[in-house]
Amino acid sequence: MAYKSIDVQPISGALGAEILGADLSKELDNETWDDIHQAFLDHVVVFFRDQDLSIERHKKIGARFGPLHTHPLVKTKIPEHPEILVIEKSPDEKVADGNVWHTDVSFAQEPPLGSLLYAEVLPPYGGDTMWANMYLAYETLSNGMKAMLGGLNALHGMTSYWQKDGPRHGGQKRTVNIDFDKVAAMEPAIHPIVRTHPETGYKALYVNPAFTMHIEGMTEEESKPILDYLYKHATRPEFTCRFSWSPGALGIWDNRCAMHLPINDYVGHARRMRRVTVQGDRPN
Amino acid sequence: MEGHPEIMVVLKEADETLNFGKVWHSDTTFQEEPAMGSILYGVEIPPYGADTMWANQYLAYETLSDGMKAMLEGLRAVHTARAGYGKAALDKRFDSIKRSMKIRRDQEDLAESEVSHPIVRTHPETGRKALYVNAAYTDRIEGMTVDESKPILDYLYARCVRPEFTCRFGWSKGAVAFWDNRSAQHYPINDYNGFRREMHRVTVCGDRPI
Repeated sequence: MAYKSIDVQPISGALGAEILGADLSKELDNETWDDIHQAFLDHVVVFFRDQDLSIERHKKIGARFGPLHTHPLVKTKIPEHPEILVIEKSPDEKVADGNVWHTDVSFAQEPPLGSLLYAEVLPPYGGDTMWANMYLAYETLSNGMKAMLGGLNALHGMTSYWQKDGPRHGGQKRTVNIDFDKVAAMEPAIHPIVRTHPETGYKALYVNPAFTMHIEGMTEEESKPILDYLYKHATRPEFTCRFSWSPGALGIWDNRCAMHLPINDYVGHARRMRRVTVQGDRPN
Repeated sequence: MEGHPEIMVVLKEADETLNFGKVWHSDTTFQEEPAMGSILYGVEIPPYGADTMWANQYLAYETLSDGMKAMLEGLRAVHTARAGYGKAALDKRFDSIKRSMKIRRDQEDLAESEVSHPIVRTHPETGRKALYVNAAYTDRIEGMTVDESKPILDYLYARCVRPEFTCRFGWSKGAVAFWDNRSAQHYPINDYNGFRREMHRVTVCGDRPI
């Protein structure tokens, strides 16, 4: 794909590209925006380094993708900006958030289109994030497996991982506060296991180990071998990229065709990221 | 057996350590028309051990969830005797370990061949549905890779032989067992090293699973 106003440098063979030549602190002209949007669709996750991004600019860039999303379960840190999700870990916290491969908020009826994550405070080493290309995960399945999965749905909800006594918590200190009353009241969402991307038309695998509970109509025990296989398949190193953050870096990913995994290898150091999330549509 | 080719002598001598059919299986599912049933007769039985277990594949099917039943409904699995009777297996097998059970080497084409059967078969006489995959001969789900099939098949194999779905028969000399190979798997227990065991099997032809 040719881009007129930016340079796009892939960071792996599977997905992910760094975009050069864009200053996000300034208003983007339509041509630049179109290029960025196209690169986002082409590469699933795109990165910008050394950006001076105010909260307002961060939200404005997010709004070019669509209406902003407010996390339904995490208590807001900045009352005047409820759409800003601060993902923060202090030096004395051991457990990191979302420390399992996932797509964001797939437990919602209309999960987010994508997320824009901006690095404010970073540890001296570690704290990378990985993404996995769920188009590739789907496309590399056999025809028989594609046919079998084609008609299946899965339930997404707050799996045991997220419960009060689950591995996310276990009495550990947490900076990100989840509203457990809302967690308890969540109704699971039912999504197709193979979804069709509304913009590219490509099919992508749409299950993740953080929120997918079981295949519709099956028990958890019956679903587990199939889902575990799909998770392992989807996160083969050949389908992933890994980004090392630097202060002022922004990553924008397409939540409809990617999973991501934040790597928690920086205990003893602080990390603070700011996320803007864009509303999505119902997977089909 | 001389003069009676339909009689298969299932024999393990006192100085042998390997037995015949040592994984859960249904008989001859690598054939287009697998056996309908087998009649096994106890000729010489060890003083203890050597029981056989059977697992009810109707129950294995019926206890699946509706979603799992629906998913399996249209699927077929590829069966082959390659792993046990194929050329590579026999080349390895003809070694220093003594075995009374001789495998015909003039049937390599059959041993290497593949056939597909529905994963859920309908019994031609009772009309009931039964799971029809087994760890001895089922290679993969048709249209899928072995890797993709394995988690699903391994789950089904484990499910097929839950203790709740099984029975276990202690043999005595002169005992006869007649099982329905279309709706059962069986497993001969090899816990009698040092003793001779001789069984005679007659196998009844079956039809093509549907």
